[in-house]
Amino acid sequence: MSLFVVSVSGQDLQINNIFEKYGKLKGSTMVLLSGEAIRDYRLSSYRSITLKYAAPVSDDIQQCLDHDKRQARKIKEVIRNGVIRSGYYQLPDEGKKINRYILFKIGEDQQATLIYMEGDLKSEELINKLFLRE
Amino acid sequence: MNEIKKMHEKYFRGETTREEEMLLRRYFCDLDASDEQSEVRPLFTYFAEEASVNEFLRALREDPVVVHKNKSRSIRILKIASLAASLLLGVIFLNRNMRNDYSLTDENSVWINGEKITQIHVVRSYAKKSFEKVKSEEDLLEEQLRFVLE
Repeated sequence: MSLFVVSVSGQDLQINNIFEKYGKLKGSTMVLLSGEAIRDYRLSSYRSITLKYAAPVSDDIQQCLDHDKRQARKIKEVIRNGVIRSGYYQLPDEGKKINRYILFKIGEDQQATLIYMEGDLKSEELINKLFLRE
Repeated sequence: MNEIKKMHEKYFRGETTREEEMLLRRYFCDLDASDEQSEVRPLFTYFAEEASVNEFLRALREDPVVVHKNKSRSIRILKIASLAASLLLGVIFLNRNMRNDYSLTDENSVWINGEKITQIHVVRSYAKKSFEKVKSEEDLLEEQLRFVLE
């Protein structure tokens, strides 16, 4: 039976609720990419959502990040006044030998961007991509 | 001949063995109607006929069993096939529901203000934009991240 069940990446994470709840609403931009389309980037799944950072969205995001970062292997955050302004979380691979990351940032325009990605991409490569000055 | 006469007298006394009775049956089945012993012939041929009738009835009773066995096998195959079909339909239905509910297994797409776009170059361009948005411009974070990786 199990061979018929569709496995959805990142389903174990609370941030999944953010994609489900707000992804298709007006004012949100949600990107869903998987498979061949992102293989060149050494990723198997990429999801992002950009939306206005205001209550109740802001509370939801902060709660989900607080929950999911408890299982993270590596955490780097910028917190101001108790609010996560930006975050980088590397999650355990759960034996699947894939790297999983959550990225989050609140922009100066008060737009929040939340990203979940997984694949072969090494954390060093991701850091280089994140901080590459163009 | 006398042997036979003695044997069927013995038969009427109830002293014959099974083998002797079978011998008598065979003898009377082949016996000519003009024979003096032919008056007791129906008794033994009756048993012989009865045996063949019994055999026929037994065969008749066994045939439906064979048919029944084949039928039950067909029913079992049908049951398994219908169970497998139901299971498959269930999985397809479940799969579709999961797709509808979560949309996270959707094909590559970008949802902008609730509208879905699947043109891959548009999706990629929005993916790139979203990634650009989380790129840090803060030296503090970069410095700390590199420290962690060292």
